[in-house]
Amino acid sequence: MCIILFVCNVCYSQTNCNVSLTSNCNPTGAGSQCVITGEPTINFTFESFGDFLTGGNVFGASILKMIVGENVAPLADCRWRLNVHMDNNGGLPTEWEQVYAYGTNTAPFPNVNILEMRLRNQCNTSLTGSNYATLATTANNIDVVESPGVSNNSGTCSATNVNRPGSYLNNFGEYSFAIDYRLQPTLNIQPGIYRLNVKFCITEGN
Amino acid sequence: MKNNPLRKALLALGAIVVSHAAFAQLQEEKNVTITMDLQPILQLKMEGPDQLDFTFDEINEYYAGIVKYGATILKVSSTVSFDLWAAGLSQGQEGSFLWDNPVEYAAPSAQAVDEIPLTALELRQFPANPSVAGGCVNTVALSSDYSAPFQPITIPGTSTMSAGNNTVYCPAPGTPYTAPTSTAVVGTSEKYIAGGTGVVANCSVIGGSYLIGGLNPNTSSYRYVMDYRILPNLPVTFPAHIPTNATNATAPYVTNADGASGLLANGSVYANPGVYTMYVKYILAQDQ
Repeated sequence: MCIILFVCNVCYSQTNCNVSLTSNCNPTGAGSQCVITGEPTINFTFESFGDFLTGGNVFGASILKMIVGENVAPLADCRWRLNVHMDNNGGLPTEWEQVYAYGTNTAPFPNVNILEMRLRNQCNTSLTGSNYATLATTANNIDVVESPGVSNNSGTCSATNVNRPGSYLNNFGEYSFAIDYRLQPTLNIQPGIYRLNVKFCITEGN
Repeated sequence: MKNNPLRKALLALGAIVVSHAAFAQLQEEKNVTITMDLQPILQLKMEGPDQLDFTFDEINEYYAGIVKYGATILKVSSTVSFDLWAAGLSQGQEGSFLWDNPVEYAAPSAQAVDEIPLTALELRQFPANPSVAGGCVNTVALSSDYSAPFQPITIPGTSTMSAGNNTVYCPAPGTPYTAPTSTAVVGTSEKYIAGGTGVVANCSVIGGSYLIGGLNPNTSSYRYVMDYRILPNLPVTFPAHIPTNATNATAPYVTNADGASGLLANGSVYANPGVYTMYVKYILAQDQ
């Protein structure tokens, strides 16, 4: 029974987060930590024409805080990566999941790219900078911190892509991200209630 | 001892634990769910008085009618594709498809009846229904909207006029929100202000607003100026309602309203003097 559960957990993770073959960082719960605060569900309601024109924008609705520890032995370069992707419960990769339709009609579902996200912190370490980023399809992801063979240490608060061990407790501006969500619906799409799951993945980089 | 089952199980579990530790990695996932409630927004703004009075107290007004130019301006904002139409209705005091007659200046008689059909009211719109030019297969120019000019009486004694194309669409009073049935055939089509019958290509106006994109009142699909005309004639037969005077002579609402009225083209039965009322509903409906 233990083996079955373990295998299933791996399968699930692989579909959602990139898996590294190295183990130079502490696993979460054993030296590393990832915490998200804020409401688990963020609702946008568009009930006037003005709402459609202006769109919806919530600032700092989620705060992502991380601690990444490095294994002592074998001593190696621990680098981490953070990316964002979306899940629409098996819908077409470019569309939101429709939970409820207001009436019947043939208009298209909204595209996932109308949801924009900005991950920001005090030291501006995000690869997306201060810009809102979006995804054209659920098959893609937004790289916030990467590990392209380069190690960027924390503590200077002067560079992007800090990907070495550290903690939000010591360097909040480099190991935390406030997340803003912006949603700009388009006209002539099918009225209804839609859902999109946003996944924040922290994994060890290669 | 070597074959002790408990010992084997412990060894196996130990192997699993060791294996797990060897592949332990930094990997964590956090989830936030975004929900979006997109409600269909259909806003119709109507400028102009709520009540239009047509008072016929001069002979020339009977022959020429009274026109209220630009009495109503309709402005649309919609997030979905839409149709827009006018529905002429009454309370049905005198019967279906007939004006109400709250005040009689004299008692009705066999010749003077209080049976003015709702189609005595004519509308004219500007600009024309964009679905007609847009290629909606269920529309035909002029007959599927109110863009045609008002026509004059040519022979008063027989209630003859140049064929008009402006009588207000009037649904059955029990189903006032029934959409017109526009067709591609001159003679049978019922009228929309914008859009056409069916959820098919170009038979609706795509969502938008008079507020955005720079309003061009000559061409905007989101703003319509409505004129009203009532043409009594003498004797008072309201010739526009008579099917032979209407381009859409066989449109169901035209024949229904004409059938409900006892007015005769030769003037032998005419409208009784009095105060008559009806109302027009402008209906904006999703069509996608």
